[in-house]
Amino acid sequence: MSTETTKPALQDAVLIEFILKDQNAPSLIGDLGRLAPELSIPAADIQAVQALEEPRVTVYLRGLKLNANLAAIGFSAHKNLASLAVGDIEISRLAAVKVLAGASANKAADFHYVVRTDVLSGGEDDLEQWYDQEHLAGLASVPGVVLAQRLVSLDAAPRYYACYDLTAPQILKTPEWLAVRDTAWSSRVRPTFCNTRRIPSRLLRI
Amino acid sequence: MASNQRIAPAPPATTDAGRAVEANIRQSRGEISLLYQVLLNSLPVAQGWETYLTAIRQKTSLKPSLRELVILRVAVLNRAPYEFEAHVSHAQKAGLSDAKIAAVKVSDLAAFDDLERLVLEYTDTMTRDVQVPDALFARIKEAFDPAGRVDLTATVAAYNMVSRFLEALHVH
Repeated sequence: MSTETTKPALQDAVLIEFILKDQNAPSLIGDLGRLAPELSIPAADIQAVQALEEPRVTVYLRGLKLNANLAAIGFSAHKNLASLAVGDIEISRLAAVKVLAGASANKAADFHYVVRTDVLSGGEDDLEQWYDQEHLAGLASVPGVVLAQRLVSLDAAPRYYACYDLTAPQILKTPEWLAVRDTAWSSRVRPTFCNTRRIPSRLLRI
Repeated sequence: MASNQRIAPAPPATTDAGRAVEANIRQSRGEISLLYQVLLNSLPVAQGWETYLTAIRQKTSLKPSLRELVILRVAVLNRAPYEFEAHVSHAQKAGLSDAKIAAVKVSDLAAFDDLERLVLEYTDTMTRDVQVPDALFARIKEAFDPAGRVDLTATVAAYNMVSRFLEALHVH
């Protein structure tokens, strides 16, 4: 919730993800909050989000090196989160590709929207260029976008992550947002998406 | 006594000093709750606690709804469900809506106005990080006069004391 506008840092991340057993679990925030001190990560480098349309919780541990001790992270995640989760707690590494301050970089983000996708074989270069030259910067310039970033998963599918921190979920429906999505290049690239998941979420303050 | 309770409630006082402390607690709190029954094992701590917490709960300049918001948030952060549940009715009386009471539990920031968000950020930082950055305190100074800053800070600190005491001694 910082209101300072600084150039955002390109940061790799380790992702912890699980399905919540009880969406109103009273210990959710307290349990998630144990991760930072246990892993010696500044609380500000942990971003936790809860999906709006499914009971999924995703935690980005930012600023970790890609050779981070995943066993220690997994141990801490299981110790603190197992009682909240149904099924496995998944741990994976995300390598940062690009990060852009949004048009509303000085505002507080309450929402997080992530598009995870794979791409049909042969479409990788066009996808990279489209994101790099048009799409990410286009969406970052939409009012209400606080931060836009791209990462790629080193461990899991879908591989490509585009993450947007937003002031409100309605940003996804504004004419400015929709206009960026509605370009010739977008229309060419989007049909090559496969295994795609679009996940609107709210940021959890932990 | 619950099987996991760590300190037995003190028996009724047998000395004048002890009866005086019990009377004080009854006068300000109406009854001697489980927490105070545990505290009464140490008369000076029970007396000091009652005086301090009565000041925090009833005599500060902090708006009651903000006070209860702080208390609920500290309970959430410290995983102290007894403290949370014990304060839901106080929060309702203080004018905190049921939607906000639910939102503080799941960290739904969108439910809160700017001042409430600032108070939550200060509560979170004091509780989680202990050290409070200058930039955050500058915003607290804009929103609260010196008495208000002391009252808010003491409320966050006091209820961290409460939740740590409750949880360490299994007062549930």
